[in-house]
Amino acid sequence: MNEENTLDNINSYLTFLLDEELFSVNVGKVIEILEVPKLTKVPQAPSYMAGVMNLRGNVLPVIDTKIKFGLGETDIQQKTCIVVMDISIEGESVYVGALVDSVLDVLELSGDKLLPPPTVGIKYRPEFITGIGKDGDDFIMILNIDKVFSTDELSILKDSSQTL
Amino acid sequence: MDSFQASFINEATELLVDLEAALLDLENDTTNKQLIGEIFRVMHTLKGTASMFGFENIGEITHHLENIYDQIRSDKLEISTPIFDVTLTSLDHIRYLLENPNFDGDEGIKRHKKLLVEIISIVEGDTGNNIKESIDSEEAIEDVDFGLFDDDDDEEENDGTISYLVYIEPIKEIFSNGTNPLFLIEDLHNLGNSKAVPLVNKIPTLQNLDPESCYSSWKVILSTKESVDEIMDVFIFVEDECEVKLDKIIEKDILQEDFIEAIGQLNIDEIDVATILDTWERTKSDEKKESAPVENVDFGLFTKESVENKEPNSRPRKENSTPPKGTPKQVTKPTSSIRVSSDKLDELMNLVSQLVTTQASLQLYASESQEGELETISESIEKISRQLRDTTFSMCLVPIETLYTRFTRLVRDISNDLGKKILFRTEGGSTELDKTIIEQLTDPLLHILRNSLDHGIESEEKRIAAGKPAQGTITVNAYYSGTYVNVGISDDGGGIDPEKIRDKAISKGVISPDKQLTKKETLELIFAAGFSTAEQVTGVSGRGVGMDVVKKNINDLRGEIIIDSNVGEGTTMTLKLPLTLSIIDGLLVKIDNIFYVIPLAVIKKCYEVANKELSNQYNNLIIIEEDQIPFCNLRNQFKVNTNAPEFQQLIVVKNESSLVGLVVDEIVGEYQAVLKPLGKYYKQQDIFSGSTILGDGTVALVLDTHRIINQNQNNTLLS
Repeated sequence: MNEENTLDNINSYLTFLLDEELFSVNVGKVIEILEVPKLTKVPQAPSYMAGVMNLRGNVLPVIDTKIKFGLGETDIQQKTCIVVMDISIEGESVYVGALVDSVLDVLELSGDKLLPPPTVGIKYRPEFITGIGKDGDDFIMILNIDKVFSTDELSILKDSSQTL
Repeated sequence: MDSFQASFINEATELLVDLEAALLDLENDTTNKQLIGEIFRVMHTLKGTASMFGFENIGEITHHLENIYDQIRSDKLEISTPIFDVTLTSLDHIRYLLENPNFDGDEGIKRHKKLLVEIISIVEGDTGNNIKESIDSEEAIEDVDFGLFDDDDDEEENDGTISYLVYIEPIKEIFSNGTNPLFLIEDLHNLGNSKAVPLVNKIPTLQNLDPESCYSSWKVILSTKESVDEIMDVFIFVEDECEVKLDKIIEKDILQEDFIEAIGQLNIDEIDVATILDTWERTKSDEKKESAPVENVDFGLFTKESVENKEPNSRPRKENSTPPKGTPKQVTKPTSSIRVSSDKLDELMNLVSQLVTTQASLQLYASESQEGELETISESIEKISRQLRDTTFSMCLVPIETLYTRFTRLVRDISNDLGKKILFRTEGGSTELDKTIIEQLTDPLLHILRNSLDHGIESEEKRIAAGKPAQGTITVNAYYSGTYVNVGISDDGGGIDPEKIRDKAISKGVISPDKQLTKKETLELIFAAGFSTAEQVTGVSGRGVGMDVVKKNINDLRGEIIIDSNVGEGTTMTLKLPLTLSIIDGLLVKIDNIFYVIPLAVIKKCYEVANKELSNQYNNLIIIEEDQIPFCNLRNQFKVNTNAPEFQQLIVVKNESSLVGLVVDEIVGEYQAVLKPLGKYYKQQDIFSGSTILGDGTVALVLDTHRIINQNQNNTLLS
């Protein structure tokens, strides 16, 4: 409950790119941003699980965000980053790394820059989006990161209900 | 207040465990005065603290219980089975009261009243009849804790005054809690005549003296009409801060002028019950029995005699002086342990694991850097972190004895219910296991014990007919075996009949009628799901959810269960458990570019085989040293698409009673792996029991060979 309140009070959002699309998450959820180290792929795991990595002596699961968003497998480039986030799954706090093509900026989004999620016109299922941010002419998808990364579903696209 | 109550509940729960253990011991050794004394003391503590924290109901029960044991202690009451029964039931009731402090619900109140009546009837019903004749001195000398020295040949009138020797040793930090030990002594003085002598030999020289520490301890000779309880009540608030020992000297007021003077001349270390009596006898014969007590309270902080000729380190304990024949042996509980929450231990464990991992990378870096100095440093860090790891691991180890008490109680209750006479023996109680393992071991062990009690041990008539002693024996025995701990549960009951198992398994559809099985394989059928051979389902066991769950629990602990049984002779189940769950010795192997760890404990042998030799095989069988060995090609199972090297490694592992080969690309070497869970995201991938971090920071996956082989078999069956 308290955490929710704190998050509501933070209006800073970390924006990142997946392909050409802009996404953001509340900075309250972000622990750190890392270069991509050597990942150990776990056999027989769903394809969106990129593997595990060593985060200072702990094992961190890494998710290939683009597969989740229906954008194909991430091709690891120089700008590819891992955003380490603290998400809650079934009330438990879990650290997870998300592969993103590049990290852009931290933006203050509030007031008229923050719009409620549209019900039509976006390809993602509404429960994964908490709102739309506006930065100049760009629209930024604000993600409900707890939901996005706690679902077993392969993709959060509207037309996919395929599960693993 | 809530946190006080919580800590009381914690403490009380522990006291109850002590009490239960002492009671069960006493039941086997009813003449053990020391145990009776201990039971009485624990009850007294429980009573005091319960009333203090508002658990009046517990206070009430323990108060009456205490009366029983007070009478037993003073030989006014004979120990009997009803007393044990009522005490044990009361313990359960106290546990219930601890969980339901508000104590609502009719049933609880009814039980409470019933218990009280039972207890009181024991105390009152027998008081008149069983009072023993006054004890002669020989018997009294054997009385351990409160030494009822009754000096018969002295004709002096006794007005109820008893002299005690009280030994008070405060902990060093007592001042920081705001307690002034001198007030305790003053309180004692208020109870009657007293003479206090300080033990100051531990006071260091001025440079080393910490003014906020207490270095002194005291011996107080107290002559009072008050009861032992009243005396101990002085210390009720400082129980944790003071070691207090109370010994009865004689049932007289000995504090008279000459005596005090004589005591003052004694070497302070020598003051104990025997020397006091001695001195008293001496002074008594000197003087003309002048019974007017002389009030002389000397806090004597600076008494000179006490400082002379003492080795600085000698602990001023009574044990130091040679105990005269028949003098009770003093047993004090060591105060050198502290309670730590298991969360903190887990945290420490976690940090140590991280340190070990980091140290491995340092070592790797140091050995590559060619810098001699760095390597030396790295080596000493390795040494330290290994010691630290071992110490931390040992802190998380708990002796299996903690489980034994529960079992003793269970066996007692169930055997009474079943009307069987059973001798329950436990061995190797000091064998230590990781606390997590102990926690998870309780249920499986209880289940096995219940089975032994219910199905294993035959009824008395049957036993006699079979020429066995009427009393059955169940033995639990724990012992180390390499990096494993074995826990064996054996009974001398009827044993398991393989034929019966076989019939049952066939009728339940667990095996097909034409299946050939060895005796061992047949016995292992009892671990199959939905298998219960009990012809009658009883309340104790035989609900059909049994041994399969036991086996699963043990497997989850990376342990094994081995069964051996002979018809008419009995059954032995041996649980083979790893010492710890967080670290394993493994073999580091590689498939494609990913590292895996296979636990060394399951590995039999490794062979190099040519790739084409494997791909040419039908049914995934390979012949090695004239044995046919089925194998799992992990490349296929893990869906690795790259080309396999020309020569691969076949690692032969034990899987239950058979051998299975696992094919990997390359063996890297032995590796001590600190297990890290893979976490929620990989809970479906249970073929990995976890992961571990290698020296260079890469993550290696730890294989659960049992699950891998099962998965492989299921896949083969499906295809």
